[in-house]
Amino acid sequence: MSHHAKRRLLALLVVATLAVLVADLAGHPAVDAIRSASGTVVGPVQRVLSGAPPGRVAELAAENARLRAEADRLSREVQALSQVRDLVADGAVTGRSVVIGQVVASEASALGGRSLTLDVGSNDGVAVDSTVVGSAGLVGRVVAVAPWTSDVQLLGAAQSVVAVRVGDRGLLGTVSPIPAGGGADDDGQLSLALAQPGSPAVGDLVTTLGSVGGRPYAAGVTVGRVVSVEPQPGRTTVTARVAPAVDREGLDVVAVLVPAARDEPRPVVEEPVGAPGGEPAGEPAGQRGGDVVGAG
Amino acid sequence: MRISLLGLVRVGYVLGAALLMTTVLPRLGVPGRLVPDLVLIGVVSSAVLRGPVHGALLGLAAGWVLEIVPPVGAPLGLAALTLMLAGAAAGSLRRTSSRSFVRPLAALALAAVVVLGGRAGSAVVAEGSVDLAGILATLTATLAAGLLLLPVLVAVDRALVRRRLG
Repeated sequence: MSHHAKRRLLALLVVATLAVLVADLAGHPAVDAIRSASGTVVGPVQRVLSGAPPGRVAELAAENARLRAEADRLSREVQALSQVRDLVADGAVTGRSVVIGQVVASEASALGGRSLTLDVGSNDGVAVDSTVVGSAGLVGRVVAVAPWTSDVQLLGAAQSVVAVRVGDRGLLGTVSPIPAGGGADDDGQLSLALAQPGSPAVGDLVTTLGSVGGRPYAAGVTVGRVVSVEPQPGRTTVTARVAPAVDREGLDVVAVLVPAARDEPRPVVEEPVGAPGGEPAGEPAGQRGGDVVGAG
Repeated sequence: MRISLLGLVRVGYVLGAALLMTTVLPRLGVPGRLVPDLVLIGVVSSAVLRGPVHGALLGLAAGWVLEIVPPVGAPLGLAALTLMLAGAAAGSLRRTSSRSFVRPLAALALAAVVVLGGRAGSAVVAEGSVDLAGILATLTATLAAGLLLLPVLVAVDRALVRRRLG
């Protein structure tokens, strides 16, 4: 081949190469055809050269992978089951109709706090303002419901306020997130404000007060324990810090309490006839009957 | 264009080298950065005997073989163009009178710098960073392999030409 012919051929090939290069950068489908064609032609040679596993070994490797996936799935199920057992063993669920759900998504809210998505929704009987509990205690409340999922506002999210009872005496108060600038936010602690005079002790159990019809918060669910009491001289009510009972970062299996509205009047408790130390019948019911209700 | 034994040897060498670089050596456990550029060594051995235009042509063709052998290069054609420049650079060191062994090795060093420089440049453009240690390791591996292979390839080339098989 003459020198000139070589130069012409070189120029032609360079132009062709540049065309392919530009086509590939522009995402032209013809380049993908080149790729798959080269794989089809050269691939078998490479398979032989690399000593790809013969049939039996490949079969066993595939079975191994399948069994490992199965084992992973089963251990996951066992874990979920043990969490369900914990949930059922806990007092918060007994005697209530619940739907067991699993956390499928979690997001840090722009307003502070976090919100979760559960894999249960209105088709499972979940309604807005249902209470969500974990095996340790209160998780939050349902704020939005879709047919198969629901969104949960976690305890301690911005603007979440829970009416609570504190300690053996049942002091009334509210638990809310610690306001911005209100001191160090230690491990997601919450702020407890008592609504009446009285002083809680460190270690007092904080449980929900409950709302009408159990919405948004059912009564008697553990919220957490008092970890510190802030002295506020000159004020009749006291604020304290509460450590939530549930680990809000590691939530997995939770129960949604399906609210059941009362549809028949509560019976009047009457003193049994001939009871010792008889007070006038009906009076205790007048004084103590009926739950104290409080909005969440 | 007649088919010569030398041409067949070239095609066979480039194909074998491409498969060796992409499949056999990694399979034998050679880390990717230590795989020598065997195709480049072949291109240089021919280019240094015949000049820049031949080197560029051979480099472009060999580069396309290397691109086509899976894993297919991305973007397709860039490696062929850098190998073409490397072949031209190696061919520019041709001296018909010289039979020194140092000259092909110098040509290989120059060509390897061109190829690896191109690779580093595209890495900078695409990823914003470049694995300099890895590039130096590849350069060293290529030069070491060239030290062994280049005399053999040059001798085979010369022998075939002498017997009018080129």
